[in-house]
Amino acid sequence: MSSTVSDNHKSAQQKVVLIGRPNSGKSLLFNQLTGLQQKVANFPGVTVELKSGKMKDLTIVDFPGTYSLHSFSQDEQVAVDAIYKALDSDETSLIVCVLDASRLERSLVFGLQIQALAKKHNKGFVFVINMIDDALRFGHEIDVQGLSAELGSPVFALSAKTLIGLSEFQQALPDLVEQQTCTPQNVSENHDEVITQSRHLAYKYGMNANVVLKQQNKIDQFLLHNWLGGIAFMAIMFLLFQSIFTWATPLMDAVESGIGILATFVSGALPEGVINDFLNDAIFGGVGSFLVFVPQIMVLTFIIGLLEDSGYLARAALICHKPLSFFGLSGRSFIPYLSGHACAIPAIMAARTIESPRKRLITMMTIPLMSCSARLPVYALLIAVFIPQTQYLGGLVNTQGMVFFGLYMTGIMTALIVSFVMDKMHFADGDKSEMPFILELPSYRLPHWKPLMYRVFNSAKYFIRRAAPVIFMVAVGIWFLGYFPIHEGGLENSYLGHIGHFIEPLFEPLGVDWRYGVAILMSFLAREVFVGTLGTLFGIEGADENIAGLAANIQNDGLTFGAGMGLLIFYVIALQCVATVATIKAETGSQKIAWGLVVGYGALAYLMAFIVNSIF
Amino acid sequence: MKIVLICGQLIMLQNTVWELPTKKSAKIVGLQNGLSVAMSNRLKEMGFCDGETISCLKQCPFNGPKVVELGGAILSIDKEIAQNIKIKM
Repeated sequence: MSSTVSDNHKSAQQKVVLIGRPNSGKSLLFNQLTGLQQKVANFPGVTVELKSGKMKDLTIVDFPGTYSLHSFSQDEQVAVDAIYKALDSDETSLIVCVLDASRLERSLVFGLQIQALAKKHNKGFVFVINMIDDALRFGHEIDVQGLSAELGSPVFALSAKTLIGLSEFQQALPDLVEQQTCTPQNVSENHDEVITQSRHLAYKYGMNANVVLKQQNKIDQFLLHNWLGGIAFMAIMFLLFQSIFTWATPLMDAVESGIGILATFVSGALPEGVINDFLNDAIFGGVGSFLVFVPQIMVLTFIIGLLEDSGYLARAALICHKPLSFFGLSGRSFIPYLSGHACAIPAIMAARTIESPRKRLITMMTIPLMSCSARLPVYALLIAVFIPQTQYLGGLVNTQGMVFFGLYMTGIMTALIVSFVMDKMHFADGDKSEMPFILELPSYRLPHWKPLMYRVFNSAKYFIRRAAPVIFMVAVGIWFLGYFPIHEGGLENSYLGHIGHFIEPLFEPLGVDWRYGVAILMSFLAREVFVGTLGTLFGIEGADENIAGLAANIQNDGLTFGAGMGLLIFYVIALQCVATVATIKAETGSQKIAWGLVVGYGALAYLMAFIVNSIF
Repeated sequence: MKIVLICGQLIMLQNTVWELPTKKSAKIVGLQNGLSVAMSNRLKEMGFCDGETISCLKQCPFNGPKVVELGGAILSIDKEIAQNIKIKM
């Protein structure tokens, strides 16, 4: 057989492609092979983009997990298209299909489909049975040679988690890429035949599934119990939001005092004047006051990652399916909603896993109401100003955490109400292709700490990189407008003061003065800008005050309780994020929907803030 | 199997997974005819094939999804799907 990937390609980059079903431990295998610590997806749709890394002179590409070549939802279509593209590419020299040792039959159906394709495209092909430690734990050893003979392709058994068999596979990889001998011989393309064959092979070589399931069922009996499961679900969610506040506090204090020390040091070293003022007000006051909230984002990402990797998220989706259907959503809307609390952008993309186009659209349109991490700085600041820190139950519950929880709940309730209204108004009803709900519940697993920590640090890096330039520019711009023309009347008579007084009537009904008005307007770029802008403004006003103590500054400034609560509600509802608007536009393909949401949620937020301010 | 008399005609209603009580098992005997090709292919790939044993682990309250065990995997399916899978108890 002549190989298309011939000698002249040897020196060029040769690609090894990893393909497998979701939850087959594919991403962890990828991490172990390349040493690149990437995110391990434990739920369909989480791995959306292709990741690649190097192993010696080979390029390893990790593909999104797919159940089948017959795509069902949009994110599967993306993955399937990518697989076909890779098969057509000359650079691809080897396809590695990852199977799950504890679920051999299911993974073989997809594996055999891929094998047939690889043969058609004349590519090298090898099976990897991952998570062999699961099988060994239950005393089952897989006859690799026998299976390999029947499949007509090499088979490796390994565990990406415990590293059994991994080095053997790594050593064999370069040879497998070189030789084309692993091109499969006898494969069937008939759908029913594939299913029969994988059943036969799984029966002969696979492990008795009952043992694995027994342990899983025991946990499920509790976590999926009619009311115990519900209580557990509520408890987990409550602890999640509490911990954002309690666990992150020491870290936040550390960042805050770090910035304070740095600011004191820098301003002490520089002579007094415009430059010193600029660094103090715009950089430390503006940009610095937002860095304080990065630890909270990390804690939130950590807990969501923990739930996802342990296998609980799929259960949560199941528990939520019936309640969410009442509001016109699907159980699958739960995962985008939850990750929307970290950031709306990946959440909107994760909504691709929702099979029903209509429910997907409603989910995407309501995700911006989830309190994302960009709101955290605003919430945290205003809560610190107005809510005293009182602890109960040995620090497990505190009043500030309770208010936080309340704000998150307000966002979720608003989203549900909006969904319900859209559903009842037969929004996008033209899309009749309703797809039913089907979801695999993965086995419970102990999360692997390395990829989880990588993910946590990545979220912080991503957040800073995305927000910092905007905040920096706004802080500099605001500072410039607020600082000049130099002094006499102070901030009131600066350029910014004039602009602010011009727009003040718009914000008067909300009970806030022009400085907050400017901050609100600026935060339509990104919410966290609110804190940076206020930090800069108060920095200009009170030259001798402690820079990091923005909350204390606002407290002394005498913002009323009602106005503060109104601001909080405003930030719960308003869609203030340029990146989210762009993502919604890209995913829905509709400019009208994207900007309609900005206007609609903006008006609703203004109205609610007005009502709250009038009541208190 | 239920036999129902409607408008003077005898109609036999096949049992489906939706009628499978919790903690009971049954053999799958096929999928309903009205299903789309994509849907029935997917169901087969997920393991809903003739002769497979399916057990119901849980029925969520208020006609919520069913949790079933099938071919070593645990799946959750809603009413629409469950009613399309024919079983023999």
